[in-house]
Amino acid sequence: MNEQEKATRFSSQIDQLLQAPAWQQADDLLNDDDQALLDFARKMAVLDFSTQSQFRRRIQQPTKGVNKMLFARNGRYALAALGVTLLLLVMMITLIAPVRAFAQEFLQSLFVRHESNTLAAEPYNPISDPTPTPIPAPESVPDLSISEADALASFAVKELTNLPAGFTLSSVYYDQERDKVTFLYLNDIYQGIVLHQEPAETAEPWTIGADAVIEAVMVGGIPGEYVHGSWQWVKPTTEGAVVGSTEEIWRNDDPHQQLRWTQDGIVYTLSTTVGQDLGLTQADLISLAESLQ
Amino acid sequence: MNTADLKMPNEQSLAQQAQADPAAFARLYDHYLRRVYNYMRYRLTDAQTADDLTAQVFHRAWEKRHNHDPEKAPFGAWLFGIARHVIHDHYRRQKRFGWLSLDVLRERFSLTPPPEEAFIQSEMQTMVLQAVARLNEREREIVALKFGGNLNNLQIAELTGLTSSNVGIILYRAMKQLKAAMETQGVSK
Repeated sequence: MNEQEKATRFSSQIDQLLQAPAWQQADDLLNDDDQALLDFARKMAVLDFSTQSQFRRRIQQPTKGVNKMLFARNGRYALAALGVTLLLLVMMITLIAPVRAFAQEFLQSLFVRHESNTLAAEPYNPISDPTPTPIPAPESVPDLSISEADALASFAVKELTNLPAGFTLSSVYYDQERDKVTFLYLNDIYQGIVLHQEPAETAEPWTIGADAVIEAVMVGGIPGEYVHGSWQWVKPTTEGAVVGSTEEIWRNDDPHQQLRWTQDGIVYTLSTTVGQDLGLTQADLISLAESLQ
Repeated sequence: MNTADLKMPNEQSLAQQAQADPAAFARLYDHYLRRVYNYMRYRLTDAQTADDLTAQVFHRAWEKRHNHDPEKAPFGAWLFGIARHVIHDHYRRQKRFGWLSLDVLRERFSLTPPPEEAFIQSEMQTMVLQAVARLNEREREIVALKFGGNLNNLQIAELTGLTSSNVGIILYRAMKQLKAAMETQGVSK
């Protein structure tokens, strides 16, 4: 039996397993390797990731009506939208534009403010009958050791030497296109600190909300910029219905922190993972940045 | 996955009713929600993003339901076509906003279960997602459509533009890779 025939038989077997996971091959035509592959497929056929879904209760409890099911998060997001609106109102009052513009003169453009606090998603592609669409591969970010990243990067890679208690280096990534090295540090409850290092000539400013506050700080005697907040997806409503994410809104109250500075032609970005409060103050983050060696 | 209800009785007539009747659409939604979500997990690995994009799929399906002709295409195939569009838009969006490269990290990061959920995430699930994430884009898509969407090779071929036999070969090789990857982690033997 050639590979094509084996593949055809295997696909048919998987379809049987997906219909009935207890299904057994009736004959003994399979060799040990094929039997092992079928056993593996049997394990995959019974996997159900929906238990991890935040919607899992709804997934497991069929709806009695589409409006209730599709749009059940409406109240929560309406409340969130109200909160964000109030917050933006307060910020508009408290942050006088000329003062902010004056301060901006002294910044290095490591961050760039968007024209508003909302990032619109790309417009929908009108969908008629689905047609085959090539899917671009996501950016490749392989796992590396520090020495491997150092060998790949065009600059000497540095690492944090005074991590907060409980944090250890989890992963190292290298973006070949941008000559950018990224370290991810995690603690035992999976909170994260992220360090990016990339040449200044190719580094791009990070886009932040129009009302974000950029604070000029010093990192070991070098000017840096600090921002608190992040973009978060929002769920607009249509006729009282919560729908999928189509835009992001800037939230100053998100615990996400970003510190950027340039040293010896390299832009360093130290940030916490979005949506997680690590209990680090701005001073803590700066102190951490100063431990870079 | 409980697939006892894989084939929906009267799906075609239900899809026709769904054009005007939300209750009929709700029945299709109930039937396909788990499969679309599982497809998203195979494609994305990150549970939160999978939730968001799953919601988008059904919202788009609801908005575009009048474009679906049940006599030309089964509802499931049409729905997974939308799901592929949603994935495509998601990746395009990631490329557009460079600073959001943290999303890539988040997907990677999310493979490690938070402690409060650790008890419900089996080692097998986590390892499978880690191994699937290492497949190339085409292999990952086909594994997702097969094991997440529970589609047969002909349906996958129609969605991807491949031949049915190509789908079979790619799936066969991808499964061998996955099994080998799992064995190196001591899971599958």
